[in-house]
Amino acid sequence: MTTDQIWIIARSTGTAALVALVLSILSGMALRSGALAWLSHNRGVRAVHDLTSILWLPLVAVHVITLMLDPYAKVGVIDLFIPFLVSYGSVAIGLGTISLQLIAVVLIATWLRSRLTQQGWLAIHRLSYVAFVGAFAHGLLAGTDFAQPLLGALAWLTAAVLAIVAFRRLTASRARQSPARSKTVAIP
Amino acid sequence: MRLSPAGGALVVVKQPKRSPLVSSVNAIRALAAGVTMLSLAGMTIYAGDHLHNQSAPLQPAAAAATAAPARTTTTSTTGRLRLTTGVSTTTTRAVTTTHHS
Repeated sequence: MTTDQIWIIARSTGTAALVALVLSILSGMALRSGALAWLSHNRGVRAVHDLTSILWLPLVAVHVITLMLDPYAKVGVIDLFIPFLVSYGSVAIGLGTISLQLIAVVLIATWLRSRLTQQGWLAIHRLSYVAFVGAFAHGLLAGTDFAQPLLGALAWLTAAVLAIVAFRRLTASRARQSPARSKTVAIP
Repeated sequence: MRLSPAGGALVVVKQPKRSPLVSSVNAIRALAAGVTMLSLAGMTIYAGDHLHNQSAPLQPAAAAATAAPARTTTTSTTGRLRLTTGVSTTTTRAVTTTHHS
């Protein structure tokens, strides 16, 4: 395999992994807020959430392996565990490392969900938002293709949609909480 | 569900529930997988056509070195050219004209 082929695979799998992550987070948020009710019922949205979380894994694995093989990126095994050590684009690549580690923690916590408390699992699961921000920043700072106007615009549009759905979910959960609170106050 | 006054009494009016665009779980799963795989295939084709992006935030060190302007310190002393090492340049042969008096 030539270095050009390695470079092409690294870029395409990186972008596809981000797409899978976007779909996973979007469907995860839509489960509560009903933002995708027009597209599918909750069982379908749940199926998308589960599938894209699994699809993300091989894409990221290939992305990381190809970057380790890439002579320009100079990413080593140690860089998978300790972020910001890499000499070339340390911040940009380090953000990708942190994001990868956070999502790995989220996935492991999901597999061990029965052994965790609901609150503990939820706290860990919410780390995926931080991981997404890290992955998006990684794409912006290190990605070769986000600098292209069309792809950059698509990426920002996707981020805006996610922000809107996140806001909708936040307001929906607050609206659910507030009548419950007033009820407890009303009871003598 | 909505409550509306009709003839002084409150009547429960059921709003018609819209059915989603994709009702099959397998179909929505295939759609999500399709979007991801389409992005993978599309980016593979795109990256193949645009191997390098000059406006990318990270540029490989080797490419940056070649893209940088060549430091050609040429000093002409007594009709000869002294070139710095590692720089490929094309020079014309120095021509010395002698005046015969």
